[in-house]
Amino acid sequence: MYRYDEFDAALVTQRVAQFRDQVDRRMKGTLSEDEFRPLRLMNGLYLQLHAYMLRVAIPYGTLSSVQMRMLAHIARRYDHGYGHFTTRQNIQYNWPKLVEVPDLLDELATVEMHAIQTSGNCIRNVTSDPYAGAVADEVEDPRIWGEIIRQWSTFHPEFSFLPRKFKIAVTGSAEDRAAIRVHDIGLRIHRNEAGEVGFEVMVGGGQGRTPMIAKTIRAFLPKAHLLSYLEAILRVYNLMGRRDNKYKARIKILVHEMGAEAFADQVEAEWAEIKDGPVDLPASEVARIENYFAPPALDTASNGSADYALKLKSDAAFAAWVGSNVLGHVQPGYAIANISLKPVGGVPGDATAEQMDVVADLAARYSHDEIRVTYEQNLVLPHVRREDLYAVWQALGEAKLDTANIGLLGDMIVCPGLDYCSLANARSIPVSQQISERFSDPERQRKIGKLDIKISGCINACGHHHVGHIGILGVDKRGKEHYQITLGGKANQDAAVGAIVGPAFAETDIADAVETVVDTYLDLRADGEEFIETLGRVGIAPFKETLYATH
Amino acid sequence: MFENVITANRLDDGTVIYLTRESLWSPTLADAWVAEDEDEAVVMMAAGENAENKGIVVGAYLIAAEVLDDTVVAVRLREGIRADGPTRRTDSVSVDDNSEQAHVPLR
Repeated sequence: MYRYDEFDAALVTQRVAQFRDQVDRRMKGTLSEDEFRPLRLMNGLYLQLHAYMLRVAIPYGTLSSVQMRMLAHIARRYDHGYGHFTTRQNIQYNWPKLVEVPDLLDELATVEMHAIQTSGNCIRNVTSDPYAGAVADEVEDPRIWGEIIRQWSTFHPEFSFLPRKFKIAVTGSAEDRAAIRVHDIGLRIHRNEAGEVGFEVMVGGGQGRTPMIAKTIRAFLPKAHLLSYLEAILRVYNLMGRRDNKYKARIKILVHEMGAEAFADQVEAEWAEIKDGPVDLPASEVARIENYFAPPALDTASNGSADYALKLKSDAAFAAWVGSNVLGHVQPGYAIANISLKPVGGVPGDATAEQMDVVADLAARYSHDEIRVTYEQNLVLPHVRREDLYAVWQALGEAKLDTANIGLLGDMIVCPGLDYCSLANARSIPVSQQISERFSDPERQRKIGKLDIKISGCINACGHHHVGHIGILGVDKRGKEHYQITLGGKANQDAAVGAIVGPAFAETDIADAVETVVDTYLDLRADGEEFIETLGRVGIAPFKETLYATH
Repeated sequence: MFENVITANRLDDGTVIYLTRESLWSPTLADAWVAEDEDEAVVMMAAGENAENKGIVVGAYLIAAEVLDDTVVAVRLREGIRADGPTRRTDSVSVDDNSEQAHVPLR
């Protein structure tokens, strides 16, 4: 993992000291709320429906055990004993007191963490593949470039007041596990025909009220030029992006209105001016950062064990968990263990301080001290020996973290919705709970197979409903919560925006509606077909028919 | 019928609060001063702005309310959730503030 150098450390501690002074001046009345608000937002502190909310950055979703223990400590000491992992691999605390936030940030800084640039019209925390460094289909570890982007974008003076917020995601695999095509910039590391490693650069993706899939503006960018190319994109956006209407200010609108080709031409012209300048890092600096992400010292002799095979045969619950939550690792004998934060009837993405401590302990003991946060609001132990999986599973079970539903219906992305968010029109969490309780039988979920349900409480789409196989959007209809269903969205390498199936359903009817969609799929599916494949084959008409015939 | 109350968040800790007839701020909606006409609401808003200027509260605004069975309730769902707390929450037990209700059933 990356470790702060003296510049990183100084920068973060100085920022905490500045914010402490700003809070002090706010409490003394020498700063008005209008003056203070942009300052607190630059430090990730929102004022939400019930209280202040602090969003802490988890760069490219990677945590050490020490960092996770600190997140648990902060949940206990400064919040209500839990935290909420988000769709941008961050963590949010829902109840911090303004006057205590400087102390909180001081403690975070001791483990090389902060809340800088988790809000505001700047380059936000860079996200990545949660399985980085552990999967066989990876060309290179994308976190190296995630870290380089983090350093370049932190306090970048030219990009501190962009037309709108700006999100970058990086993956090193052909299979997209970072939803890069619904980001302002998506970067995919790949090899060209000559065998050289570089980036496919995609621009202008996003969700919100105007969902767009990113367009490729450069099929291959040599790695060494990444920062200058990003700088060129940001410059074109900064200059030409709209500032008169916040709903048209994201780069996706600019790319859409200009056309991807014309936008790419502008970027290339700007890049030609700066590509051989000082922005790109020397190879030695890239190598220095690369060293932090060297693979852990895995036991190459490990190849599972007879005991593990026996447990798989003798313990059906363990086998079910392995079947849904455990994936192959690049190193034979190892596995990637996903930890679902979606128990039946729970709050998706929430983890208590005690659960965070358990995950930290397991990472220290069994996963080379590494934890990942996924954009699907789960956690990952990326490097677990197969022979240790049973012990890991048992410990997770004691902490109620052993739900076997990764990729299945119960593994829903859900925004905080009207229960917490001041922008929401309807609640998301109770809807997800109704659905998870309706489909609580794990065997039923396994028979249904892979199915992504994503729920947002408003059009801002923090719950990614546009790219859910089944998307659910909460709307306010004359003071009552209603829920619109979209079908056919995808967040992966074949990203697509779902189609609205028809009029919205009342809160009392939405679980029935989801069950109707699922039953229709089960009636129509061919052997071995996943939900999204059946939908692709038959279209939405049969679903519309069954949904509204009985409605 | 015109029935409004003023709500805000307490500056130092963010707690949802309501202006009372005694010009104090309470975390309980039932304690709120209910304006029964626009003139009364104007007086209440002036008190809210004064509290903002003094750094006691942040973001004061009027909400529609009604008096039912001698208690004040919010008209809109959003304000009902603000008053009662999240309808679903992981911290099922109140922590240190009796204004926080542990669990509110679906409406």
